[in-house]
Amino acid sequence: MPGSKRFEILRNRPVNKDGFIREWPELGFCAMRSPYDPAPSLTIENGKIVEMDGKRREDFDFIDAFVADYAIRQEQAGESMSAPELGIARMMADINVPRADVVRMVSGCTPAKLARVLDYLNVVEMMMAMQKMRVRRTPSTQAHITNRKDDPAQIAADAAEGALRGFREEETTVGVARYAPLNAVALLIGSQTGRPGVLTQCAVEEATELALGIRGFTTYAETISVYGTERVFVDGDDTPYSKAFLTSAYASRGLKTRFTSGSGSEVLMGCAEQKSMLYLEIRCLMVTKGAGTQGVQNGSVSCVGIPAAVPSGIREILAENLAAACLDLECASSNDQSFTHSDMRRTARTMLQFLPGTDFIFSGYAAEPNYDNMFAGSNFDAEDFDDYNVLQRDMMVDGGLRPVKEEEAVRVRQKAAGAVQAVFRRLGLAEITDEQVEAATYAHGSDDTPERDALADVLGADQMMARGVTGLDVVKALAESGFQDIADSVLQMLKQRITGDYLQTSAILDENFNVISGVNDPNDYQGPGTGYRVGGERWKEIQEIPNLIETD
Amino acid sequence: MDGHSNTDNRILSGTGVPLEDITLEAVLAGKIAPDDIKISAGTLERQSGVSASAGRPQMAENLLRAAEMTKIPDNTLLEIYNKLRPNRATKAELEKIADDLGGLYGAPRCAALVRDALAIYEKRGILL
Repeated sequence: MPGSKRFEILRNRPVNKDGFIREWPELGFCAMRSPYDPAPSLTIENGKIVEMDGKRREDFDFIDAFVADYAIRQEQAGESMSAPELGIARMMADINVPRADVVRMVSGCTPAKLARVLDYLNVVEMMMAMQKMRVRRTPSTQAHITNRKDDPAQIAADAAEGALRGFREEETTVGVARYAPLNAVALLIGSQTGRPGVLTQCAVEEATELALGIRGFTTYAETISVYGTERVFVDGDDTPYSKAFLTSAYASRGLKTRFTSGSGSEVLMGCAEQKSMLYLEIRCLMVTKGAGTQGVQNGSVSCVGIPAAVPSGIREILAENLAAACLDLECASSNDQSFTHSDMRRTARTMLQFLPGTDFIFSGYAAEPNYDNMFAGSNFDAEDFDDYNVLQRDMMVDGGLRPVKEEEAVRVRQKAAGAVQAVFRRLGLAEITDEQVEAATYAHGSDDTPERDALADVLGADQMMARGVTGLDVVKALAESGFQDIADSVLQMLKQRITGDYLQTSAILDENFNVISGVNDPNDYQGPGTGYRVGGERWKEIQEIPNLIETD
Repeated sequence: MDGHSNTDNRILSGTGVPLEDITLEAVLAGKIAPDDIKISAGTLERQSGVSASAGRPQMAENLLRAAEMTKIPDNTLLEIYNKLRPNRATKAELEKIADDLGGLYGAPRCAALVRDALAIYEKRGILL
């Protein structure tokens, strides 16, 4: 048979470079429901859960034990476990049922119960539910700020531009581990230069991340990973109990935390126990809930290639996000690691969180070109900024970003790079030259910037940690270099950890450092005319994209 | 505590410095130490109350554990965290940690968490 020209064209489409497989539940390649998922059940005797999802207490692994003892609300369990799953699913999608009723119902469910509930919903119903169930009324989004050179001037410049564009959280990580304190400080300075009030974090090994937080180089922590099977948890070198202790430790220093989980990690690490990805992720979420941290980053995150390869996998990712929201957790809903060669497919995947809105639609939009994204590339990057702004405008949706003017972006980039140059000088770190500041100001990515002396940088970082430099020294260095306004903003960020209001669920800060959280900005969506609506100044801002035909 | 802002002048840092005294001028004059930028047990207890009122009992409990931990030095917290990781501690070590938390540090909630961990770690074979 001669080959079809049409099929040849189709074969060469980007989507056909992606990897797809059939369901294979024995290895955990199963999105929403595996034939091996347990049937929901719960038995309570003398105030203790003695059986859950078909397993007796003596057979509990440490995840079962933690979920049973810390997460499930026993006083609610009777009503929740006897309610039909379809009925709870309808409560989620029904605009006439208040958010609080769903939260209460879900608080008494076991993992298997919640998984079955979610499997009744199609993606549109899940989006309806997410619009109602996300904790914070006002949606927002988060950026990744990284580059291949770990160039502090570029980190500061990208952080400043990102803040100006509207990101309310910015996350960095490192190419070289010992750079962590430098990247954290550059991010802290840059973020406050672009638009004050942005929360910042540096994703590194747990103990280092805590140390950076205590120093005042970061303002929250996110990479506190939890897993859905015991063996993978042990391979990850933690337990629900160690993570619960860690999250309390952060809070004891006034620092906001959120856990990280997501489907596919158990499959990737070779131990999914034949369970569906959604069931395992709900176990993670219930560990998160039981530990009492305010929220989670989930939606497969860095294992997205696994759910994306199986049928209903992108739907499963939204189901995970929705499960988090129904458990009354802040949800930073991924849209993170890139997973497809198809622009169509990556955009469609993001619409599931973008359209209903989540607490953070992205838990890592690459605010640099993807070649500089040290989290292995994000689903959207700096080259998509204008597309994203147009999507907001087309659909009258608040995706958390706004159009900015070129001269304004250049101005904050220059100021941020100059401020980090001055602070490095004051703190005795490796010199940032005027040429580097200039390059970072006008750069798109690290292809446009000079090389750094990596050895001098890491030695400087080591010395800075050894000397006991803290966030207060950064404040002083900024003020003494003439950057009073940035100094004051960094100090305001440090003071958040004394008041603790931003420890409450789904907290972000506005540019005047007012906390906006699930406590003072609770989601009150209950159908048309209620909840968060795009309007007023925000709608004007969204409309004013640079590429407009002037009609005057 | 709706709309409660960070300018609330009733708030003291962990070392007892009023929030409004932590200004740029005070920092530049060397009057503020890193330890002054720490939350107090009282503030954490108050935030725990806010969480409980918002229907989040697990979070309220976490913040009460955190309030207890304000008295525990940074390095000790890190050491205990590491001991709670799998295959890092003997039964006797975790028992000692729980006893110290309950006694020396006056942290009964943290002690209870460690005891719960110990019981299941022993059953699951992840003690040294």
